[in-house]
Amino acid sequence: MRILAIETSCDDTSLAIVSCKDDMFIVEKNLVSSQIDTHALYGGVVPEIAARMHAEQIAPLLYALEIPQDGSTVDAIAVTAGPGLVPSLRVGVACATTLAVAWQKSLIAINHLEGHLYSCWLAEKPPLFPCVALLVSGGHTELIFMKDHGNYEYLGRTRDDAAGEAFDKVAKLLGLGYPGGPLISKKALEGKKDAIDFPRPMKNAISFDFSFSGLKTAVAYHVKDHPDDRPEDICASFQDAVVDILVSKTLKAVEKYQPASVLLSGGVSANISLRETLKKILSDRFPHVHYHTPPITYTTDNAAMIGVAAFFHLQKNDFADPLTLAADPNLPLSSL
Amino acid sequence: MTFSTHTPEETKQLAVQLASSLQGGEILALEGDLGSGKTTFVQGLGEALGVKAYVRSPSFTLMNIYHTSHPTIHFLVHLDCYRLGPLCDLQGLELEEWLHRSDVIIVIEWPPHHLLNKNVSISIIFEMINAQTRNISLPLSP
Ligand SMILES: Nc1ncnc2c1ncn2[C@@H]1O[C@H](COP(=O)(O)OP(=O)(O)OP(=O)(O)O)[C@@H](O)[C@H]1O
Ligand SMILES: [Mg+2]
Repeated sequence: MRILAIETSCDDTSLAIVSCKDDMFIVEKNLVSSQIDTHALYGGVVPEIAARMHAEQIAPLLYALEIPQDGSTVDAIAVTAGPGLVPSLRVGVACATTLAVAWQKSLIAINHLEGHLYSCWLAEKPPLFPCVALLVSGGHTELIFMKDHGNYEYLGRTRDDAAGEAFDKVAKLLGLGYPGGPLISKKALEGKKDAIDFPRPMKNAISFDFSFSGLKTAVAYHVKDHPDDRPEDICASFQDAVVDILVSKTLKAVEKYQPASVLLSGGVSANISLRETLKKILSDRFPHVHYHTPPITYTTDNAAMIGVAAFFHLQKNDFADPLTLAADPNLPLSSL
Repeated sequence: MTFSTHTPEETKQLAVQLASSLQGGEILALEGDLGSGKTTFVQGLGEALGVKAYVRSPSFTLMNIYHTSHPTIHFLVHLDCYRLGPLCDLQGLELEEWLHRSDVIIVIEWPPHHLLNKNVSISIIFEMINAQTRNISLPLSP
């Protein structure tokens, strides 16, 4: 079984070929064409240009996958249908529906967040259910309980800013540039994480919800009041606060829901401190719980994870109609 | 008129007061530094219009659309041009479908410059005075 997967929900155009053999996924190809440089040129993301670039890049990427013209090596087509900006999503959806009709293949519509969850199936061993999943990116901070494939229960979400957004904005406050996450973790390596005692909003609340706007604001005051502080120390202390909040909430969910596995995914899961801290604390306190996080390449937006998620929809015969499938900007993560 | 608020709740309360004077079809532009309380203010608007979901920051998602439970205003469209930059135009967001509708309130954080000159109906400016205090200027009589 081989799936062609297409992802255009954000700033990257990505196409992948994923196959499955004996419950193991093989990413045969995963092409990503990032727009960060172009958007940097304009001083920010430009939605209209984003959509246009998806449209320009998708055909060359498809060509580069070297699929025979009749599509004979592909069994099904998967595409991200939402959430995201409609003009961008629409490029991927149009490409997928067209190919599905032309090649007469099954079409599978995937939620972008579901794709991130399934990126954990690209780690060495497949996760065991039930799972507690922490999904952290620029736009999302969610704690999800997965009893089984396609079964999602929200435990908590951010009430204001996402964790990745906080990284990005703190980088801006410190004049570090974009994208903020990698720049902060790099600086943090040379800083003292206990230099500044930043607040940990919601950390001890009963709710599994998160809040990062208070932390962002605390950094803003600190930068204003202590202009001579080392940015390295601010970065290290800030990162420590974010990791502490994310890890504590996840552990609390592990205590309550007793999962077999913990999943960490999304763009912020590329943060080494987060990956390592969660891993260490889990193995200390819950040694029987398995921990899965994708290889760094699959933490950011990519089509391979969309392809993996599609396999489980396929098993449940959950297909989309290529004649009616439309991009949905607010597509909720809903159970099958 | 400039108001000083000393808690997030007071900022939300100010939004509730403004909400009662909205007719529908307005575009609100919210300006101010990072953390000055723009999203907090929109959370107050959401409460006043009967939005059931949490109003989250749209900085990364760019546009969040909320259903309300208000008799005449049915949608709150929350935009954030933080990642787009001050010179952006809003093409590509497909905003047309929400503009000039009396059942929609559009509120924009980090509004682009070109918008400020013409299309905005209400301009609100946030200033961070200290950890608790925000000065908020908006057209509302005390
Ligand atoms: N008087 C106040 N009014 C509003 N917020 C306050 C006040 N005092 C403290 N705060 C805190 O300041 C923060 C305001 O953050 P918020 O995300 O609303 O700002 P913002 O202007 O939307 O920032 P951004 O530019 O990142 O979008 C919140 O954490 C809030 O709790
Ligand atoms: Mg905001």
